[in-house]
Amino acid sequence: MTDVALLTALAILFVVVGPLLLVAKGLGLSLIPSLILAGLLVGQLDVIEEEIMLELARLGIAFLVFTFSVQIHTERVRTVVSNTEIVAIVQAVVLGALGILFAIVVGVTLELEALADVGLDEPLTVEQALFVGIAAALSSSIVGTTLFTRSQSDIVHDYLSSEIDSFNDLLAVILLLVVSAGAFALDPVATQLGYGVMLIAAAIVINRYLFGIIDRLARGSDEAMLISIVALLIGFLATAEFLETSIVVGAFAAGIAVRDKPVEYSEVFNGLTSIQEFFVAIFFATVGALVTLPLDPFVPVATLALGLVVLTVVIKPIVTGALLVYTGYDRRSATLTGLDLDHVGEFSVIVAIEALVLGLLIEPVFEAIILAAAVSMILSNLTHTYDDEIYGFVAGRGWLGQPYHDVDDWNSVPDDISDHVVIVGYGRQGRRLVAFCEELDQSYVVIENNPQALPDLRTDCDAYVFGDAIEPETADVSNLEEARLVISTAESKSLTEYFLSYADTVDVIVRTRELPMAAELIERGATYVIVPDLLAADQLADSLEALLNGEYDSDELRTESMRELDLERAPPSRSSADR
Amino acid sequence: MVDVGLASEVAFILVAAAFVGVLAVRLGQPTIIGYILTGVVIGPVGLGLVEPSVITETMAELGLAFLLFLLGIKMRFDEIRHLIAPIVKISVPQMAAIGLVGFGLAVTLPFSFEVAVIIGLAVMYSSTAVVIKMLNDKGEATSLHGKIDVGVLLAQDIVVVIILAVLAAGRPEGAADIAATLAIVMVLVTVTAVVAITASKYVLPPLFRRIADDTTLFFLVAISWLFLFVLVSDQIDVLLAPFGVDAYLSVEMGAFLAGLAIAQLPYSKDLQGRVNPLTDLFVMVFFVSVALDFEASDLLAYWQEAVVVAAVLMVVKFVVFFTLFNWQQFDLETSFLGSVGMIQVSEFGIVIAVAAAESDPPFIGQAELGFITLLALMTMSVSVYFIQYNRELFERVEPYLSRWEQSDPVEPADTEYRDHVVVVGYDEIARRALRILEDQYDEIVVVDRNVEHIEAIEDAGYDVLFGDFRYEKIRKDAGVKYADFVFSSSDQLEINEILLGETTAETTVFVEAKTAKEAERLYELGAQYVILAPQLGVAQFIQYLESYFEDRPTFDREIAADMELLRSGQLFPDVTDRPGGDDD
Repeated sequence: MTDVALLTALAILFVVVGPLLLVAKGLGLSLIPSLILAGLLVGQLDVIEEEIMLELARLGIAFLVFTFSVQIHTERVRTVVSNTEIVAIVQAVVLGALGILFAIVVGVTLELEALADVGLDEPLTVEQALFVGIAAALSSSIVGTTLFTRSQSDIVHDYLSSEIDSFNDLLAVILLLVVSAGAFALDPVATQLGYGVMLIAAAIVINRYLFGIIDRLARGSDEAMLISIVALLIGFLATAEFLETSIVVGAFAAGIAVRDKPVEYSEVFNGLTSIQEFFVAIFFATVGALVTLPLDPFVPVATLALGLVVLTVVIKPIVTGALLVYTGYDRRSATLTGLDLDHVGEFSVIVAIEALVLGLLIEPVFEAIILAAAVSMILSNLTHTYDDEIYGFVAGRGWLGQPYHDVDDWNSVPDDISDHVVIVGYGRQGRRLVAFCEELDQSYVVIENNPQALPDLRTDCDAYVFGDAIEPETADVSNLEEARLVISTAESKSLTEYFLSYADTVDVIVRTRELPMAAELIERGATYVIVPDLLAADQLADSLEALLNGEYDSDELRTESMRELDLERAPPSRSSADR
Repeated sequence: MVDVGLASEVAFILVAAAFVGVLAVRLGQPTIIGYILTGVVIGPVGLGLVEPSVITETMAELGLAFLLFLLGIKMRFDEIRHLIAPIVKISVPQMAAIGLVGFGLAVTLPFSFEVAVIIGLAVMYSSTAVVIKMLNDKGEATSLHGKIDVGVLLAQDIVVVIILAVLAAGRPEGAADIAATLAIVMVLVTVTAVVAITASKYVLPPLFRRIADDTTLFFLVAISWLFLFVLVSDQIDVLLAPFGVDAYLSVEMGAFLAGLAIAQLPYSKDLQGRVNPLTDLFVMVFFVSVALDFEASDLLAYWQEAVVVAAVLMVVKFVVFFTLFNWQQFDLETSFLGSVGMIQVSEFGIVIAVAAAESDPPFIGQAELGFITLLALMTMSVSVYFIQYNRELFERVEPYLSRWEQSDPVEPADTEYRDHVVVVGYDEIARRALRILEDQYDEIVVVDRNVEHIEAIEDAGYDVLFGDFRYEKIRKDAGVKYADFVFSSSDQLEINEILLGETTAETTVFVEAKTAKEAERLYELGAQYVILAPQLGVAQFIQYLESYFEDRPTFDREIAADMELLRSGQLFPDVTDRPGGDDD
């Protein structure tokens, strides 16, 4: 251990982090694996004093969990659709079991006499195997939702993966509670749960009564509010520490104690984000720094890490995909969702580090989990970028079997349909288009792949196909080649490209949000490109001009536009094309 | 295995300081007073509950580094250029005069010559934290006297940084030694400054341009940039030792220059909002830990002297500032308000005193450090009330000041936006709105957090602010409160709620919403018009489709304008000539 001041160690850490993040950005990699790698590099310089850095790093964990907790109780929790929940549970159980099994096999093998030289000093017990299982099972989004803003996409598989992720988060918090019990014996778990409940009860009391007082006292000063909230968090952490339960529980409770995020505190919550990002960066870098190179002992650590990578990058997408197809999603959405989840979750890293600190996890297994996390996150970046290509490859080889339809009435298209309009996506826009076609007596076919839209399709549409638009049989059934016009309301690159391949024979209208993209699409034969903002601007211009020319005064405009709003409030319903 | 607990002293300091800080806010005292008092109460002076630890010391060091980094980020050359001359002419004589008075007072009291020099050096600055905070709270930061005060504070801060560097070099052995140290420091500061400014011209713009859209990455890389300077200045003696140079550079100076380099980029305002909270947090630990090293006897050793010096200094500071403002031909009110704000001793005085006390061997003892701290504490507390009631005071004393009335005072340059248009977020909808609004309004400022957008907007000839609208600083700079028309093309409910909370009933506000429910909420909050882009878009598209089914040539004609725009593929085509648009 070189004797270096903490400030210098921090400075070195961040000086290495900066350039690595820039390189990662150039390569299109995400932040977290880059941070872990930076930590790994700095760790080899031997300037980091583990205990002190861990203390700062745990502030990172605390802030992450705290923010997560504030988010889930202030933002209305979505009503999670039941079949996604089941997929999430089954997926986690299967992967968890596989992970545990794998680790136990490795453990038993290492006990063999022939491998005595390369084995671990301590036996790889079932407890250790449990953590490998957790790492394999959870691909949580806790960091995903706070560190990266996910692009708001309208695609089924993006929606699915974020649903599964949020469920994983809840699972992870419960697991952490259990982990912090210090052992898996029944009694401590009960005690810990008791403490957890007490902390959360205290948090609710604070939320109801005390927070109002803080609020009144600090009114008008963002700084006072910011430090009060930080102090509240720290107070809960200290209490958790005192009760010898996990600081994660404390942080979670502290999040509950903070009252809804009103607008006047937006500055404060922005401030918390900055503080959080600073400590989270330290956290992931410290995690990397805890891995010593060269790996010692090499064979077991490398085997475990490699196994975990295979489990998460290869097996997990297969399991998830199969489960989703089984619940009625098309094979494409299922595959892409699987590819979204193919990494060791950030929350698993937190579970691992808590277990390490509590002495539950031996260092080689910890190192294996961290390495697997970094590698799988980088690979996940790649599979995410090339997900359509991977799907094409796998489907092309016939590995996915035939498109699967678990409903008999998966289409209701008359055989002789022609000169019709094909409407892709049954979202808000799709519905308006259907209504419009019906007004004009124009024949149409709707293509939709979200099982949740199926009941509406059955009742409302004369002709629909329930399935992936790209599958050849969908094109057959909807008689795409004989159509007059195809309107795709789904903003998916692969869908858009697919329909444009029909542009020679059929009029094709596609949709994109990006103007530069629109030029390319027109170049490739699109009859028109729906750019929602451009269209909206045309309409808006009239209202604005009327106001500025004095045709309207602002009260009239307000009254009229509010009346229009009432008309707009048709019951919105979920589909692949608007989320 | 590693055994980690959250350091109890950090937890204790944060919780106690927050508690006292909130109380201080309630009582109208600056939070700094609350923090220092916290240190006094929980430290050895009071209850003796907490002692400094590695973590608290590091956080305190980071606090100073971040404070100066933040200060650096605020220094945009082009914003202060026109006031540089009067600011220099006020700040330099002022520091010399106050320094001399402080030294003189200290020498007449029972302080040694050397201690008196340090006291003189420590009392000549006014408090950046107090003045800027109070000016912001009163909305006077961008008034003429506010700008000059801020400028003078920055000039003082540069001197602080240089003095800290000299102090870091240790005790000089004579005039020649001081000169040599000063020379090395000046060379190092100059070299670092040149490196920083060169980087801000050639290296940072392309670098930050690439990453500015990604808020987290941008923030972390900026922090990395800060730490690069911190590391180099901290380790400069090690780095230069092989060359036989005995050199020192303060971490604060490095941090300040790192900030200065970023300040010249268009993205600096957004970064201020990001760095501010971290600074608040660490600075809090810094101020608490100031008193942690004190024994009660040290802090109060010279309390009588401190009361006398505080009273004299406040009067002298006011007189000196007023005279200099007057000399620079500012009007009476500006001179009075500008001077009355600056009468306190700065927190940097404490910083300098701490540096002097920690220098090896120390220039001053703990008792003298306590004296300077007490001085700062008292003058800051009193001055807060003077700033709070500065206008009422001015009305009272104006009759007696009339003989210093200027015949031709400097007029405040009015750079504030008034009755203008603020556009939040730039997209196709906003672009079209701008085109219509520019016929009616002279001043339009666009706020956006996307590098490509701001470049396009600038090219189109509008004023533009890079930053997140959620930051108060950005809203203030855009003058949202005084706008006549605000157009938000952001569909984030939070942003629009903030916006509607800030505008008055006279402002016409157009905002965008994602859902009808959100739209309803925004109408409740007073929006004149809520844009539901998807619905508007569908309505327009259906109009096109009607033509498509009825008569294909009509359809082709109707979409021609759109198609031309789409074909151009330009994200933001020249705003002034959109071909064939229906808004022409």
